[in-house]
This record gives sequence, structure tokens and C-alpha cells, in this order.
Amino acid sequence: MGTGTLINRSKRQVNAKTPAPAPNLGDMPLLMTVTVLAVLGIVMVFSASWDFSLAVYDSPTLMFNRQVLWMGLGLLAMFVLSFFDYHYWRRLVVPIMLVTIAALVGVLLTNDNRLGAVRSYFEGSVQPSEMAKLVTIIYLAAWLYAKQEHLHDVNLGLIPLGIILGIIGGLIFLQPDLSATATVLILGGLLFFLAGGDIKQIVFLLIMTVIVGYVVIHFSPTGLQRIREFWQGILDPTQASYHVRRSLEAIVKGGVFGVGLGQANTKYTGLPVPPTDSIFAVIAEELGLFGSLVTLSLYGLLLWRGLKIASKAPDFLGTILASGLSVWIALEAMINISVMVGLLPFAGNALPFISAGGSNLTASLAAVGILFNIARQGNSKKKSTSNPDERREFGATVGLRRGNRRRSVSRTGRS
Amino acid sequence: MNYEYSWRVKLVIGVFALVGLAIPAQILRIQNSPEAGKILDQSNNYNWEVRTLYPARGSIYDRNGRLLAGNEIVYEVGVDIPRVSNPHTVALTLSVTLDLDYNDIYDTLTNPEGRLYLVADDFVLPGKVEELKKLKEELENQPDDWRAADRPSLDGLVFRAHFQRSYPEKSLGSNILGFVMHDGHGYFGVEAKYDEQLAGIPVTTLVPTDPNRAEDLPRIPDGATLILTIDRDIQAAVEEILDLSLVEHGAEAGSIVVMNPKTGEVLAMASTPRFDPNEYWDYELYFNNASEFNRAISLPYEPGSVFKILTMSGALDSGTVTPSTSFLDTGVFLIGGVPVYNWDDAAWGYQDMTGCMQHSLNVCLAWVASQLGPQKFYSYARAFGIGHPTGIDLAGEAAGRLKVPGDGDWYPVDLGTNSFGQGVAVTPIQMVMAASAIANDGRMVAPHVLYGMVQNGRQYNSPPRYLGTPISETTARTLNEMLAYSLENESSLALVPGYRLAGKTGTAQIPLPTGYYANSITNTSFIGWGPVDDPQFVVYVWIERPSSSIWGSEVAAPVFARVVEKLVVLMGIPPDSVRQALAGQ
Repeated sequence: MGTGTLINRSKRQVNAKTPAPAPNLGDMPLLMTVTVLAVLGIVMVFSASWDFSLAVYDSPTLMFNRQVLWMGLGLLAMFVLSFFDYHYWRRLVVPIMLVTIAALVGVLLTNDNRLGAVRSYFEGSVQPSEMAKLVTIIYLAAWLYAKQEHLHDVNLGLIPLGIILGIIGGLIFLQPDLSATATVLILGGLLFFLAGGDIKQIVFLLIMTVIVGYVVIHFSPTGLQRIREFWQGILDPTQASYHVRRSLEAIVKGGVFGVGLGQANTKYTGLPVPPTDSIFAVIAEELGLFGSLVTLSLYGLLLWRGLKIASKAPDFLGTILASGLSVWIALEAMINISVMVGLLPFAGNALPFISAGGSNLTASLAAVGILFNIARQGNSKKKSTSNPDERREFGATVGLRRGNRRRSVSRTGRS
Repeated sequence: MNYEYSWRVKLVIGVFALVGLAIPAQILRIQNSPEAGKILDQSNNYNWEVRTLYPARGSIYDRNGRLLAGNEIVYEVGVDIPRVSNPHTVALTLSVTLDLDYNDIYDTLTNPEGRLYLVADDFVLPGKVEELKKLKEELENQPDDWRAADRPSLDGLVFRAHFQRSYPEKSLGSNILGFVMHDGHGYFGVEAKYDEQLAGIPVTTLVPTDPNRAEDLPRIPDGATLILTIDRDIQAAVEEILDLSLVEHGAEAGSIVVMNPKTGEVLAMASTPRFDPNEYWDYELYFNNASEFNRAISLPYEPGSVFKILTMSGALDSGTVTPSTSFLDTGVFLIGGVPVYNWDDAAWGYQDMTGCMQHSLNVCLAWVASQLGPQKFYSYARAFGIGHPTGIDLAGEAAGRLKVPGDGDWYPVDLGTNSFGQGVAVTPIQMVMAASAIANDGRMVAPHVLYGMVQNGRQYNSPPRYLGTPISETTARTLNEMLAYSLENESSLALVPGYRLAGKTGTAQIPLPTGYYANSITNTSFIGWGPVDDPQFVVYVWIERPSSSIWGSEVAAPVFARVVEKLVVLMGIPPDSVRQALAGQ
């Protein structure tokens, strides 16, 4: 079955001895981590949303039902993408990027104003900025992979990167969604750094970021206020912004083991948007420090497995893509949680897999699907060669096999 | 490259690890910081929400328990702006159904400038709201492509029910009832006078915000229910008679008051113009100023000859004259250096006091007053309550004006003119109260419209209140007899077959702004009561500026008769002969 690219014979032989080799699921610990996160998420969404949902939509289960539906869709996306050879993204990513930009422009034009910002399609259920983040990572991975040798050249590296991030970030900033803009820019910088960007350029980028950040905060309608509230909150938690104060209240009430699932009080008495941005506060109150540590560990596990997959990826495209996706999810989680415990100024990032919201959940699960695909290819070919084209060929075979409805990769070892 | 990546990724992992450690550290710090207690203290403020509960406004009934003022459910129609999916549909529907401005609503919905809620209309009747709700549901269930951006939808439209004052009898007794404005306060009449009792006591309560702690809202008692002394049927009849009479006599306005002289219970109080208090916003279309809302209590005027009953009762009570005292009417009487003439400028020759009253001779009454003397005359007038509010339990009562010696604008001639009701301003209710002393054996009762109040399941009735005895029982009987005889002798139009009535007409010239009196513009009045041997009602009629005739005897007297004809039927008063026969058995 192999096409003559198998190298590590000794390993193969070990595999060959096992009577019934396990099917290649990609990365088992990652699957379990995501499963636990998804289950925790769905439970917490119900606990945090019924009152909110009843107040806003006249139905206590509407948000929960939607979340279950989106989770089904996300799992489907994850499953499909885990069989979709990630190398194809290189060819697809430009049209997808154009569609994403069109969607971002479109959302500004349709003018569906929600909570003072234009962020969504179809009555708030689809936010293209989540898709934009995912697409940006894929695009940057493909681009960095292609330009790997020229990254030290400012004209070929830094400037095009700036243009790409500028377009995406700018369109999201216009919505206005400051947090999503910042997330996209930070991700771009991190990917540039991980892909081997010139240190001098990165230092320059950091300085630029500080300057731009200062300007943006000054000219954004909500920026300056957020920063001021943040400083007050750091100095004296009782003087923090209302949102953070209520979140800290939930944390204090939670104690070590929490008040118990469904027993939280803050979510009913004015904690803003408990099912979405503030869901970590609900976890902290209901499950306590213990639950918070578990949640944090889950994201830690996810990051660890993601970077493990990255290091085992058959080629540099896989490495940079896997790093980008896992860093993205971890970054979103860290920003969200840091805001909730008062370590960062207010930002509207969702807690991946847990916050209610279809776009984020679907995008996160799709990202995990891509990670699985990279993992499968990494598993199948532990030792990387220096020829990326060969690897791509192999990957393609795996993908096509599935498409041909024939036996899957696990049989490779025997042939 | 691999080496590059691995150190870089290690750096990234390091940063994440730092944040990952900082977060639990911060959680521990917050939980154990001295501020934790403060934060928990603050949280208590969020557990409760202050809510003020307003009791339902008390109903108002007539003396027989028929509803005069109640509450009905109406709706505030609002728009929850963030939930609107199609501003065009919402604006169009509201403009068609509720007659609102399309552009106003559309502009607000598409450009809310931070507003989240728009009150489109309030006090919308349930019928229209049902219509809107049905339309909204139909649009929600339409099978159209749900993605279409311009799919018609009424999403965001919300309806909030609340109470509104309603007056099922429309304009009936509106001058007594008053009305309630959108601010929930009563204006005019009973609504204003008993506003506090009707409104009840609002209760401010703490409502837990946590649904798990939800408890029943405290039951708060409704506002007090009022039972009026008004009889709806008598009120309706009197209003009808008044309205007809105004047309018949081409008069501008008028007022009729019916009161029980023994208890002070006002049975009916009609006044023009009246309006439907359900549509109180039309107030300015009907009334030029507040005193026109209820002429019977708020609009003092010079009553004319009806005032003679007070002059005569004072003179009789003080012993200045007796019914048989004779007076030579020469057609003119000089008082304070000013001549006083009769209504027909004629000389009536020798007359006894009954004749003076029967022919309503100003010259005679001015002489009587001069005999009585200013001090006694004005002390009797005061005893009858002239110049002071009667204290009737309706908002906006006027005091009238009684000039007395010592006032800067009092002249000796005023004694003469006041004796026949000119130069003194009274309200109909003041005359009715004063007359109650004559009809009720000298005991004057305070007029009132509140029969009883039901509060917290208990009824509190208002007992009759007596305001002294301005004249003795004998004087009252004598005057009754004189007045009854006068009417009979005069073949007055006020007479009703089968019932002996006492009464007096009044025709007053209206003072012009210049200070002179107009000759052809008059206020015609009639005060009367009956049956004379056991008075059940005092009726006061005031027809303002009639054009068919200027005389009270031709305008107001027949109106009185018409009212009495209705009254005896509605009150179930048998003719005198029948009643006396029954009593004699």
C-alpha cells in the first residue's frame, strides 16, 4: 500500500507484530480533552443560559438547544476535516480568504446592529469574525510555509504579512470588535515568530504594536474606558468595572469546590451575559477553584497535545498550522479567563468549546478537526524527511482512500 | 529550522505556562484577599431589586351600587429595538394600526442612538393589541425563506398590560367624578378630593433577583372603593332635563343640584358643559377655565331674588317682621342714598310679607333689610354659610363673596341690593345648603357626595353633619308656609300637581366688566323643596343667559317642576294626599 516512502523499519516491525492495530484516530489524548471540554461546555451552557434565555427569548431551553445543534454541526465539521488532507488548504485558502473578506464586508453592509455593534448574520447566530480567525490562521500557515526562506526579507515577509493582517484586522475593527482584532493581530505575530521570523523584525513589530495599541485605545470608543477600569480593578478589586466585579464576586462565592452545579447565584443577579463571555465566572462559582483548575488544565492539555502534534507533523506546513490552531484556542481561553479574574482589561473573547455561541464552537471544533488530520499524518509517518513534496503525496493518499471508501490508513503498516 | 522552531515554541509555551499559573494564583489571591468580604457585601445589593407596587385605583359607585368609575386593561405598545429584524414592517404596522407616524418610528428603529426600547404608544385598547398580536404570530409562522433580509416580521414588538381609569357611563356625572390623567392622579371632583384614598398606598418591596429565591409579591390592598350619595337615575334625568332646557330656552349654560335637606346627601348635581372623562385630553375643547368644570360648586354668581328667602328668614327669626307685617310699596326705596326699584319699576301699594315674597318686590325686601339692620342681616347671611365654602367633598369649591360692613368696597346701598341677591356672589351649592336650614326645621346640613368608603373590607359611612341652626324651627315653618302659599297663589310654573312645594324664583342682572348691569342678560334661578310638610329634596336650578325670556319665573321655575316630576317618581314619593292618608291611619 505504501508508496515506498516508509523509512523506519524497526518501528514498522513492532507495529506488524500487534495482531489488531488500533485504528488511527489521530491523537487520542486530544480527542479525550476536547470531549471533556465539550461535555463541560454543554453542561455549563445549560446552567448559565436558562434564566438568560428565558428573559431574552421566552424559552429556557432555546439557547441550550441551539448550542447542542451547533455542537452537532461542529462535530460533523471536525469529523470531515480530520479526513481532509491539510495540504489541500494551500490551494483552497486563497478563495476561502476572499469569501471571508466578502463576509466581513457583507456584515458591515447588512447593518444588523446587535448590542451596538455589527457583528453577525441571521439574527446574531453567525459571526464571521470567528471564521475569519480560523481562516487567517490557515492562510498565514500556508503563506509562512511558502515564504519560509524569505521571512528575513522585510519586503517579502513583514510587509505582506502586515497587509494581510491589516485587511482582516481592519475589517473586524470596523464592526467594531476590538478583542477579535487584537486576537487576530496577536496570532499573526505569534505565527510569524514561530515560523522563524527575524528577531529584529519581531522586536520592531512589538514596538509597532505598542504604538498602534496606544493609538487604537485612544480612538476606540470603548478602549480608554476599559483600560481605566482595568487599572482601578488591579489596585482595588472592589473598584473594578461592574462586569469584573460581578465576576470576582462569583469567584469569591465559589471557594475551593464551588457551590455546586446549577447553584450559582451571581448568574441570576446581574452577572452580564453569563452563557457567553462570563461563563468562566459561572464555572468558578459552581465548581470553585477546583473546577477552574480543571478547566485551565484542559486548555493546557489541548495546547500540549496541539504542539506535540505540531512537532510530530510530517512537514513544516503541518507544524506551523498545528501550532497556530492550538495556540489560537489556548490564547482565546487565556484571554477570556484572564479578563474574568481581573488580570486583563475587558475583552469580549469567548471561552472555546464552553461559551454559548455557534460560530466560536464550530470554528474551534473545525480547528480540532484539522489538528486531527495533522496528527494522523504525523502518526502514520513518525519520522519526517526533508522533502515536503513527498509527504504531501502520502497525505493525499490517505485522504483519497477515505474518499474511495476503502480501508483506512491503519492498514499501511501491513502492506 | 527545527532548532529554531523548538526554542521559539518553548518560549510560547513558557508564556502560556506563566499565564496559566497566574490565573489560579489570582483566584486564590481574590478569594483570600481582604476585599473578598467587601465584594460579598456589595453582592447583597444585587440580590434584591426595589420595586414599587401600585394598588389598583378604587372604584366609584352610585348610592345603589352602580359603577361610575372603574379600571380597564389597556396596553403600552413598545419596541424592543435590539430584537427588531425588520424595521419597515414594524413601522408600517404601527402607522396603520395605531395611526402613528411611519417615519418617526422607522428612523428611531434604524438609528436608535443607544436606545434599547421605544414606547410607540400607550393606553392602547385590548382590541387593537389582539389585532397586532395576531399579525405578529402570522408573520412568525409564515413559510417564507427565513434568510431573506426583508422578510416581513414584527419581532421586537412588545405589549405591556396595565390599568386605566374608565368611566362606563361616559359623560354622566363627569362634573362630580372628575378624571384621572396618565400620571395616575385625579383631577377635579371626587377623583381629586379622594385621590389619596382611591390611589391607595403604594408598597415598595424588595424582590429577589435570583429566581430560585422567588416568592409571591406581597398582596397589596386596592385603593378605597367609594360609594357616592349620587343616584345614577336621578343624575341622568336631571342632566337630560338641564340639557333640554338649555336648548328650549336658548341658554348658554346651567346647573341643577338635588340634595336631601335632612342628610345633606347630594342626589344629583348637573352642570354644563359635560365631557367624557375617558377622553380627558379633550378637556380644553370643553372648558375655558377650571371653574366651569362644575358650575354648581365652582362658579359664584349673583343669584338674585332666590336670596330673598335668606333675608326674609333673618327678618322673621329676629322678630323684625311677621308674615302679616304690612308695607306700602311706592315703587322706590332709598337706601344709602341710592334708589332701589322693583323688577317691573311699578309701585305695588300695600303688601304683607307673603305678598312681598310672592311678587318678589325688591323695594319691600330692601326695606326689610334696612329694618333688620346691617349687623343682623350679615350675621344671618354668615350663619347661612354665605361667603364661605360649604366644605362639600368635591375638589375646587369656590367661596363666593359676601361684602360686609368694614370691607373697603362695602357701601350702605349694598345692604339693600344684597337683600334681593345682587352684589353678593354665591354658588348653587351654598344656596342649597342655606335652604336646607329652612326646609329642615332650622337645622342646616353640610352637603356631601360621599355615602361611604370601603377600605380593607370595611365600610365607613359618612353620617349627616349639621352646621348649626341659623334660624329657629318656628321661623323655618313660617317661611315654608309663606313660600308654599306664594307659589300656589302665583299659579307658579314651578307647581307640580299633588305635591305641596315651597320655592322662590330669581332673576339676576349680570354685572358687566364695566361695573354696570346689563338689562337684557340675566341669570335665572329657582330654589325649591318639597313636600313642604316633610321635605325630601331641595332643588336648585340655575339657567344662565336664557334668550327665550329673561325671567326666572318663566325659565327656571318650569325646569324645577320638571325635575320634581321626575324626582317624586324616582324617589318613590307618593302625592301628599296619599301620604297623609297613609300617615293618618
